[in-house]
Amino acid sequence: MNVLETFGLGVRYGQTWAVSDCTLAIPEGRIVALAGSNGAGKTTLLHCAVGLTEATCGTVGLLGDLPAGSLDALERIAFVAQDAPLYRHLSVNEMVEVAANLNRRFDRPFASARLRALDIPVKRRVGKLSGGQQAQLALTLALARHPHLLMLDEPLARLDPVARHDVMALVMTMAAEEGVSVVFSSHVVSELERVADYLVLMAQGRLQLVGPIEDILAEHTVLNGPADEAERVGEHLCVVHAEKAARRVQLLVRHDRPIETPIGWEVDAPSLDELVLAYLRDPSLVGRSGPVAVAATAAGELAQ
Amino acid sequence: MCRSAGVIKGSYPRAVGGAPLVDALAFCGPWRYSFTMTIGKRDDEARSPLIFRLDPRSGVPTYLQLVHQVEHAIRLGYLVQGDRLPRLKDVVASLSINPNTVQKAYRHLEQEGLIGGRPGQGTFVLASPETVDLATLNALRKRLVDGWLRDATAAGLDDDGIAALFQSALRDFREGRKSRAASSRDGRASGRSAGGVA
Amino acid sequence: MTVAESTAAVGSGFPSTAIRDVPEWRRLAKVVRLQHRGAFLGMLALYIVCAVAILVGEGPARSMFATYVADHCLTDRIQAACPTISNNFSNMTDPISAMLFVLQVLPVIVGVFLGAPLVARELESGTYRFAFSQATSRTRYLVAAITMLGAFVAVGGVVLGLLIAGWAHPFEVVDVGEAIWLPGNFVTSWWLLAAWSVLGLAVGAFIGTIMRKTVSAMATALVVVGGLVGAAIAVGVRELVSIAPRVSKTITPQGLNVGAIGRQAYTGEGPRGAWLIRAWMTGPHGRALSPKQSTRMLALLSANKTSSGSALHLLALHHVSYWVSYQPASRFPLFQGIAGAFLVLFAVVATVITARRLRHLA
Repeated sequence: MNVLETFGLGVRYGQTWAVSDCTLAIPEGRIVALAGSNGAGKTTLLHCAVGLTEATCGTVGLLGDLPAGSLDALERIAFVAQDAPLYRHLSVNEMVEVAANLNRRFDRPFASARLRALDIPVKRRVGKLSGGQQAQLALTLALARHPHLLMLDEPLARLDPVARHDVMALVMTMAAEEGVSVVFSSHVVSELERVADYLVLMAQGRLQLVGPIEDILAEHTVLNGPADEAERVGEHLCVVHAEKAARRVQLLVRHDRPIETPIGWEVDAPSLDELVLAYLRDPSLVGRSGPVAVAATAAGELAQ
Repeated sequence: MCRSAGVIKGSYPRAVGGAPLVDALAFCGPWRYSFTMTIGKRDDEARSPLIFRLDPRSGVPTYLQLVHQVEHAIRLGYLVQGDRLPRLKDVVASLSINPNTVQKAYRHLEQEGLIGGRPGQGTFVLASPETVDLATLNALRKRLVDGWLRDATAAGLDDDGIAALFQSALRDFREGRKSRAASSRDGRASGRSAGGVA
Repeated sequence: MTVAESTAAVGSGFPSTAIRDVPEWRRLAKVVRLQHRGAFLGMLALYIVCAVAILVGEGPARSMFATYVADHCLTDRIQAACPTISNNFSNMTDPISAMLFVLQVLPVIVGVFLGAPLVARELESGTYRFAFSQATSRTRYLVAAITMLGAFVAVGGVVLGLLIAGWAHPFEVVDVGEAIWLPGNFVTSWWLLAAWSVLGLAVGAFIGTIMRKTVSAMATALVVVGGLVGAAIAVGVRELVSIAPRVSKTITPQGLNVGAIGRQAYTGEGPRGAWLIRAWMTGPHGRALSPKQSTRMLALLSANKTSSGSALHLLALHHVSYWVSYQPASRFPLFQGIAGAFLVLFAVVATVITARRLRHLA
């Protein structure tokens, strides 16, 4: 089962397309990093999946083929929006009550145990909590619904390092124990490197890379060799990014099959960070996106 | 019922002894995380002698780091046959990493025959791998020092240069072996760890 | 889907105790109560202030009415003391007029302070991303909020409407102009005040959903709901009473107030408590007098305004009959019902449009 599936999804705000041509299928049980620069369309994509934004064209299906925004879908997913919006005028306890009463399924004991463990004063107004505490509260309210699919929009942005670790640890524990599929969005990939095993990389509303991180890394290689051979070597490869020094050149290349190392060249595996950075530098690059798009993407297009 | 017990015990961790607490929490699921964060190491150690740590800058994939640490612990005798490995949830909670990564590491170790799962009880160390005996280690070391290291120094390489060259050669050596035989990782890992011990 | 099935579908991590079979309306009622507690309390305070103002303000009128009753003026209003009391009543209409005005504004206040922020605040502060990602349909969420707030303001409207009717009652009995048909009184009757408040709420919510900004939605709601109330007072009542066939009848003018021709319809003479629509005079052959002839006749009547006898005599002398057409007092509840039903219908339509709008929120 795919937890999130889009086909030809496009969202237009006025004249600009926030998301376009977005086709992807995220299988169950993954921890997905939805990465991209600010304004790349990550939030729009998530909002589409939750049903907060209507698709201009294309389709979105959740957990099999539940339509986005339908009650069936909403009962099984949980979403924490960017900046963890909550009712600031309510006390923490009341906020929990609101969340509990807006859902048929809500694990109150879980929520109160979590809040106690986090030392969040339940009588205080939500607006008076620190940013980190608000984020933790929002996450707690989401997790207390025990979703199949948890979507978090920039969940770590307002957290200090300890809170980041705790949030991640909690989400990962839920993933381990309940098999929750998770989609994190972030513009800092390194934040998600340790937890994610699936990458969705966006730039300017389009998908650049989609797939298991392991596969993506395996499909990319860093070649290091003499600068004057760069063109000759690059001709037969899909060069994602080239970095030239005085006499040496470093090529990040993409390949479907293992490549032969040119004589006199060094081969290295790229780090995720490095790879993502290379793609983000050139938003027009499309490496691997959509279940069918990979084959369709002509290798030559990438080699420019 | 179990959940409420967990909550109460979790709220007053110091008032409850190690083992019963561990059992209650083990059964109790989601919030066990928050308690392991606050209870301290003693209970963890009672459960498994192994504590994982990660070096994010090493460049070694996370799952391999876990594999190496288990191998290393077995080799050094921290872990002996019958010892329990940390449970998936505990590793995930303490390192905040993807559960699939831990599963992958454990699967890998299982394939190597180092560990095995007992349904409902956990994962246990099955056998200690063959260790390289001290004499062999010393001989290897002597060959490295008297031969290659001396030549490298004579050629004008400084310490960093030597380290870089060694790393690069080792990597090529590994890559070469990987492409030749996929199942040779066990021997390579033992070799490196043994080197570390010596 | 049964509870057991859905539990299984939700996954192993879900404790069965966490599924509560509380009816949805009850859960939503709790949410609305928590969320709009401030609004509830604010409106409650406003209602209490109004109620107290009415109870205090009607004191003098009430005690004077007691004297009026004690002096048997109800049965014989030409008694010695009665005209004086009547005069005193007509001098006391200012406070009640002021209060009636406040109540006419009430729906506007409801629209602005309860309706406009209802959705707009969620959209503006971004909390809609929380509310609309929970497993509750937006339509039900909106309907629950509008129903609860609507019920609250409706009850408040009924209470205030009854109180103000109690204040106005002596004036009406004494007949000093505060008649039920007066557009202001018509709008502030208990039933219409409630209906108007609900409409104010629904229209405010609709505007808030369209504008997505609390403050500008409030300003717009102020103008729109205010305009609706104003239009209803200015033309609505007059148009409304013309939808049912009028009763026409010839009467004897009692004196001064014969000038209903071309005047405000609710003044002038006619059957007690009726809504006068038109008055005219007919000549010897049953033909209506021309405007010129009417004016001359009226001038004659004014010049001989000593008693009803002389007016009758004068009319008989010229073979002229004085006619009025009107809606009888007994039809007041009917018109109130029709007007209120329309308002509630508009409120429902506004809510439906708001809900649709909310469902396709982009």
